[in-house]
Amino acid sequence: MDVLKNKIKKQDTWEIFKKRWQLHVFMLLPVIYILIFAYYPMFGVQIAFKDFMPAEGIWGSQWVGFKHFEIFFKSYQFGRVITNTLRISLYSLVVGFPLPIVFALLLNTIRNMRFKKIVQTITYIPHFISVVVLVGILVQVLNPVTGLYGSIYRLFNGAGYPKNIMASPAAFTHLYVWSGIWQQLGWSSIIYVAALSNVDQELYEAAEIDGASRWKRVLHIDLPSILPTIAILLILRAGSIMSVGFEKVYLMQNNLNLMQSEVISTYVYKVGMAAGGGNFSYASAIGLFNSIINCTLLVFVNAVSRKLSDENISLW
Amino acid sequence: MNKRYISIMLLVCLVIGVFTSCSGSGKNVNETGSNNTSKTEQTSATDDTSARMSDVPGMTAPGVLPIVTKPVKMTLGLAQNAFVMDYEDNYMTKRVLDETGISLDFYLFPTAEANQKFEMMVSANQELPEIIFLYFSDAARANYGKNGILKPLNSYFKKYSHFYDLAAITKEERKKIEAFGTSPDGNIYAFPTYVDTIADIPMYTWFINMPWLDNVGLEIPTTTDELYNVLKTFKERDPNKNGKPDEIPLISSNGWNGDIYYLLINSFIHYNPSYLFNVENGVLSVPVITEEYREALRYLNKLVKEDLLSPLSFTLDNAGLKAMLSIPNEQDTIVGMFGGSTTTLFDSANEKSFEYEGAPVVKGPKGVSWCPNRIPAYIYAASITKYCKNPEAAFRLFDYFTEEKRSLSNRYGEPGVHWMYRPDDPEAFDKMFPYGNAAGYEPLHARIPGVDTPWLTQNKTMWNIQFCSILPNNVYSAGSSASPLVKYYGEAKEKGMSPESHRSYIFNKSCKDKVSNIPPETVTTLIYTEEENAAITEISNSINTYISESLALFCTGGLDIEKDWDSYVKNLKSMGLDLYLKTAQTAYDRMFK
Repeated sequence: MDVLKNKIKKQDTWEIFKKRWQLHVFMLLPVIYILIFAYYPMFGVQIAFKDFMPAEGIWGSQWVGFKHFEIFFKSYQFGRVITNTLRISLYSLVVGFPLPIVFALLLNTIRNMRFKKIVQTITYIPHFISVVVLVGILVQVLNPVTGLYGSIYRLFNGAGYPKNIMASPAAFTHLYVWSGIWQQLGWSSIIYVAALSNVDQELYEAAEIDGASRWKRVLHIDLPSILPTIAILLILRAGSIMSVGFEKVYLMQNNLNLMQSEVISTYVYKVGMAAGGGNFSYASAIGLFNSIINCTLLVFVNAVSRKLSDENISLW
Repeated sequence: MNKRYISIMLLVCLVIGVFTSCSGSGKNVNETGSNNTSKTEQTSATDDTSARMSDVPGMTAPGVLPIVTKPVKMTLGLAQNAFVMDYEDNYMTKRVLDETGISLDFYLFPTAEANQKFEMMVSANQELPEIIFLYFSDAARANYGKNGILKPLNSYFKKYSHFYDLAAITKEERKKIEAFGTSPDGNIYAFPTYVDTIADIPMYTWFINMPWLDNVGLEIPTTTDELYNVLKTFKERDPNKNGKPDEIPLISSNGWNGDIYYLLINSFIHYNPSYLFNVENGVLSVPVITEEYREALRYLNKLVKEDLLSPLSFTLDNAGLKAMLSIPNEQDTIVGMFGGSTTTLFDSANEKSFEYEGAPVVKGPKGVSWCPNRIPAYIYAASITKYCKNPEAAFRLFDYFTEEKRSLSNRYGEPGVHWMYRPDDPEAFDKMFPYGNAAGYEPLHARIPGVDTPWLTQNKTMWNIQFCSILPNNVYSAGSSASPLVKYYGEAKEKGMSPESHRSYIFNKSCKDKVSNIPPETVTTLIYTEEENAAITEISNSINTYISESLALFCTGGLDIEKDWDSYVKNLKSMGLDLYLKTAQTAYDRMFK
């Protein structure tokens, strides 16, 4: 019986395909695109297990197994880059994730549309400043001698120069995270504002008639309606916990704050590209290690989310 | 079932993808490199006199121009320079055709990815330009040579070099040029470019505020103790007389010739942060784990702790320091001494630079006063590929450019238009440039005032300022000054020297002063074999980062010189310092013994 059933089903699939083959042809193009530009280059990751020599190419180089991973795990930088990456990343997540949500909820309660639009525009404009410029502004403002920070210090203390914040390892993480929030707060809240604008107005009216206060309305209408969005974004964020953006950290680095500011991506750059000759295999090994952890975290958080939420919110 | 259908779909796509991406590489496999094992390569150079004669049909004897009797076409591949508007309709190209008979076609590599493009052409077995001028790493060049992509030039040097042999470089310089250019297999795969200038030799220069010294009644410091005293006085006695404690006694940035704490370390022991090792009688050593280095750290730590050496020096960039120095005239000067280059730290019209004068290297407690040096630019970029039909003529084209005036033309443009060459007409030259050379060299050339130098403007004059130039210091630095020279700091303004001339004048003078502080024997670039490189790349990278990071922390108090020193040395050893030193010694012996 089972065999028969299978046969029928098989035919069904074929029938369906024949009926709508045009749609599948449409799909072909993006699939080929992904295969060529996303999957084919992945074969290059094998150099993490090889001693890559440009002359011999990716396929021709010698296999060396886990040599590069071992060097990385034994390196004196290993503990430091992992902790720094995690510290910066978790800090950004803990502070940087809820703030746009709060901001969007606040924005939603503003009645004056004009004011709301102005606030929104002002807060998301910094998003368009390039990281290089942002760090340039930071460095100039925080300069103890010529910067705004120094001038304010002298306003209260008469003369002299304050401590150099950019050189303090303890200040690095705060500077990194909070300048990031200043830049991205408005932009990241856009998606929540959009989700909130889809909430049915009747819900509010009903709540008002029932005597719900503003706070209660936020709690029982706004928050639940954007919860799926929050969950999906949180899952995506979890997938990039081990990757802290390269440019900004690299630009803010100096010898004095290095103990808190060396992260995986800057370390990969230094050993893989900047060092004389370059060590591509070693750099790819670290990158691969990084991606595997990210991928595991993504799958894990996704599973947790599916288990915990009523509507089975998950990526797949 | 649906899943299986999708997976079949994917498989089909994958197969298509793999085939389409592979088909490109198959075509060129059979294309053979034009077989041109010329007769000259086989004739051994046993008889020296006959070897000096031309033995290639259609080519003249070495040193005779034109190089070829019948016009020869050749392709030259180089990275495109955005300033060069046209390579074919170009002063240099026409001059080469007129004088040598070689007509050049150009193959332009993309500016930023020239080496990658070359690598792709090699792996796809495409026909390469006959000669190239590309900056490969030593290891990459050796590899191309080993695989037969680049021709070894050793025999050509014996037979056809002429202008290169006559170039005004010392025997030691010549020996070094050859040592750095020789790949580990003993072959030379690229023709050298050698450029040396006084402004590049000392790695560190610093300047002191003369009015401040006058105000506190002190002299330019010459020892570490005097320096401490001067800085302390600057800090405490309000030398800018504005009643506010806003003085910064000593500061530097990470810009050109900055990071002045390295110069202060050299008052205790020679340490060149670019090359790490010291050498004495052929034996290498590591200065950063010695007691002398530790003593230097103590001194620096004292300066930082008392706020004499600004801790900003470890993080500041050049723009930040410039903002403190290049300020309007009516503002109070706040910097007493600074490390760096006046040419980048003052705007061209800023008059504050008149207050400063170069300071010498101070002597330490044991009388040490070294100044680390940069090595001249040894560049090996001109190579002949296996596709070259006239390698002898190509080699002689390289050689042609090493002649003094032609090398200067590479750098400055067309003689008589952009610059003057003194031997052409000494009288007219001296009339035009009566002030002589700022650093004291015999004047040889000068840029014509008011004419833009081609290498920074849109031009049809040059290809690449480094193309096979041989410009030793006494040639390159012998440019005449276009404004009057001065003896002491106050004179500059009186004599009407422009701020722009003044800032480069005190910089060059200060560089010249440091030459006597350069140690006679130093270790610079070492050429490692592929295996050695693989063994030490990671080690050297982490060691260098650790050293510079620890230096900053020791100075600013993040690490304690007494307590943390032992673990610092231990960490360096555990990173593989001994292996690094041993490998470096091997490479050094191979190159110079």
